[in-house]
Amino acid sequence: MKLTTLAEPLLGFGTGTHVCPRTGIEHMGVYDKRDELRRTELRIGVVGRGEGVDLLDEWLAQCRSGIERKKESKLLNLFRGFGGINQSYGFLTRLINSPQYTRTLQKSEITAIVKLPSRPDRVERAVELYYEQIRFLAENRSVDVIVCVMPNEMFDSVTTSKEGEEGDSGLEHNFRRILKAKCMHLGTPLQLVREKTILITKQAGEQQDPATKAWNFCTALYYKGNRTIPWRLVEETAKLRSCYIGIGFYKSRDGETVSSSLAQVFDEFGHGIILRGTPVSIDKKNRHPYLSEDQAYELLRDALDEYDRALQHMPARIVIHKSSRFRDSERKGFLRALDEKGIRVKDFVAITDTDIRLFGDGDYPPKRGTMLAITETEGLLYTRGTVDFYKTYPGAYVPKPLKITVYEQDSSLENLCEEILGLTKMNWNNTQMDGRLPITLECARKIGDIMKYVSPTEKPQVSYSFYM
Amino acid sequence: MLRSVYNLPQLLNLNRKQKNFPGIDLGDDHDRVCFQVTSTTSLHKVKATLRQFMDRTYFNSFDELYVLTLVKKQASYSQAAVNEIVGDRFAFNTKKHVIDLGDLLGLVAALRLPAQERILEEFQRILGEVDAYIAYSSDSIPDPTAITTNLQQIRMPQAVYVAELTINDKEVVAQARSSLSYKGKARSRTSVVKMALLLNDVHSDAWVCHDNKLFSFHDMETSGLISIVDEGSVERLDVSDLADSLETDNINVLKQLLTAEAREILKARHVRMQPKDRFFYFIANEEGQSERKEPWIGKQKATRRVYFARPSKKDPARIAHHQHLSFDLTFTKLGDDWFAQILPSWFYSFDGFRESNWHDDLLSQQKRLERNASVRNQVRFIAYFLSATDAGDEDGLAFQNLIEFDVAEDADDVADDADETSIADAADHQEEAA
Repeated sequence: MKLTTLAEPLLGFGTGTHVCPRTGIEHMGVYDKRDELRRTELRIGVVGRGEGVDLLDEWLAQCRSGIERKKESKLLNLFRGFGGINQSYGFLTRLINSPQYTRTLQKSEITAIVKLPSRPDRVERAVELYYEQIRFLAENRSVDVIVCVMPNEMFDSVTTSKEGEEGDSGLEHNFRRILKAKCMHLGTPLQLVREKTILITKQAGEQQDPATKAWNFCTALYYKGNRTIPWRLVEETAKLRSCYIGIGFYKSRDGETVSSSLAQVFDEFGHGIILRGTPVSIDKKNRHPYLSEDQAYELLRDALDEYDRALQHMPARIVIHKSSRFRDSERKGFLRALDEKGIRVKDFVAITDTDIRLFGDGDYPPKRGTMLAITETEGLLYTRGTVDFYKTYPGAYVPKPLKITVYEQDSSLENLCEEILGLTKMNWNNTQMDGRLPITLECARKIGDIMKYVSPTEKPQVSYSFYM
Repeated sequence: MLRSVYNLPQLLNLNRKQKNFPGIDLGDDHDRVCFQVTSTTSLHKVKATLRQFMDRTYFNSFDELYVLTLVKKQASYSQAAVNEIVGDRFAFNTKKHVIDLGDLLGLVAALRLPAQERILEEFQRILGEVDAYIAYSSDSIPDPTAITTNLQQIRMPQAVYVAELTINDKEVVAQARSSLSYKGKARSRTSVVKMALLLNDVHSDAWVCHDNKLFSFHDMETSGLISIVDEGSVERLDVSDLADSLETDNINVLKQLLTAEAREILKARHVRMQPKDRFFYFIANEEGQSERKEPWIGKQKATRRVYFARPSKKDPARIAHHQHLSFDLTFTKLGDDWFAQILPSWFYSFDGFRESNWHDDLLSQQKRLERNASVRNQVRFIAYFLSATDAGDEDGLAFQNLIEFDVAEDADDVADDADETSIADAADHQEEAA
């Protein structure tokens, strides 16, 4: 067994590199500022009740002019002030919203929904209410992203069942997922916010501080609306052109069937393609889903075809991240697809939970990047843990490491762990740099969440912005 | 900044073009101007730069050379000495071409206001980067000197005994109904086997049933397990037959058997296994006890509270809930060795055994208070407790040391290691204390 600490991977921004997304954007500008054709304005459509729209106006004004950092904390790098979003600084983008791009919901309709006795009905009617307005904006106004503001009582009523209410019919009803799935065909990404979240008051309880909220909100809007990326991973130029694939599984709404979902992260711009797999079998013994040889083959073959279509060449190397171990049938299927496409270099990596824990002898848990190599093909990686840059462990209790098990292996365990560590930072839904899962698996999971509501005949959107 | 002040949009860092570009640092080959940046102000340095410039015939690419000194330049430089080097092939005016930061600032001040603002912005960005770099590189969290794992080395028992079960499930359940006042429906084979053993007055839990076979680390005869198996089928296997097997079923049987063995060992020490989620929890040593403490040695002798009956706030005579130190204990093979994995937690019961309705809330409240150091000590305490259970059986399951890594920069510092290795001796202390 060997213990090492991997360095925090660097991210590339407009004019330089940094480990932290927030610091990078602030000092060096967003990565895509190198792109001459990038858009410098973001048109925001808004759907909400009158009060919600007003709150969002105030919140956007705050975002434009900047928000001070959390004063009572000494963690300067963890709680960073938000410098504002405008054309001369940071995001180098103007946020535009106007009454013409705003659709107001009637209060009476909201009250009527909240009063409905069964939760599935409430969810359905609420989705319908928002969908109509979203569709109008998407079809008749040129907006880049639509922000849906949720009244607090409506949010509570669609997320919780009232006491004494007859149980759900065994079918999952998740407002956010249904709405995103239903609006997918409109081609405009959505951002959901609660009135409670954007209400500018003194920070209360469990909520994030306003500056952190603004960082996350603006980064997500920027990524969704602009269809481009605020930062990228710095990669060695000597490295083979790699395509990273994440494979996850998701249950259908009734929990009866399990399907595979796949996410690809493949070019330097981080654009991904999303594919839906076919329903898969469940191992009778331990109830884990797995792919048959043909399913594995087809899934990877389709993924490689998509890659070819986008970049007009084959990747030199394939890395598959999977949330469970690789069975023989799966390995055979993947290898057959790689063989057919003439790709020789590959790594099949299973990323799972583990019962093993490490503890530092001081007050802090192991650093993010701590890696314990158990054998050549098996190891432990801390993707959450003490972060030097933040000068703390930004989490609760003790962090849980990931277990990394490699099957077909051309790279060293350490190299594979470095890649995984890097890919944990590629989530544009989060500006804190220590994500637990690599974006490959995180994305595959999010896709599964939404995909279960998309009808099998519909062609799903390929961009992550429709799922995050 | 030089780009804007001298209006040289194509000015490049030549070192970026070619590592350590000799003689000059920055150049614009469109406008044919170049710069050498230096911290030395002497005429000697200026001459050396010019000599390089001439030797390498840079005058073919550049018409103007500036020497930028980062500290205040000398009052004057000898033009004659310079002329001697450049001759008539190049023009270098010491008054005009040797510049310092003061000259630069003068030039900035002469720019249009918007241009000055752009420079200010650029300058702030540079300072920001320096700021961020300092914040990043100044490291205020001390690196750990040792990393403790929750992996405890174990000594495997030597042998595994296997035999065919001979019980009739229906009869066993019927008998259990009548003589053990059993009311439920037997859900699993394991519970039927358990009942069969109880009917034979055998209370051991150190066995596993799989595929109509009974497995145990103990001799079937002496442990009483013989009462429910076919005597002729008893077989003694080497533990390695299971441990090194390629069949996952065999490995799983061995893992279950290790857990069952641990359960039996811990039962005697008032640590129970919760039947549903199969974690272990400390219980009171005797009924009515309000608090149980166990001695242990981490850095020094200490005691640790492992069970507590918390009185109700409203009515101190009643008990609000019982708090038990608990842990998951699983076994795993890493490389060639077997380890126990210890995951500490807390269990909240309403009667000392069964889960309280407030378990989840109480647990999350408790965990919010716990950090690396406290969880680490829980693991070390449990490992210590387990290692002290070596019940004289020299061939049986025994718990040894936690795996620890010394990561101190000077490897002489082994104080904390010594702590862990003294566990064996500490076991004796523990017995004395008991």
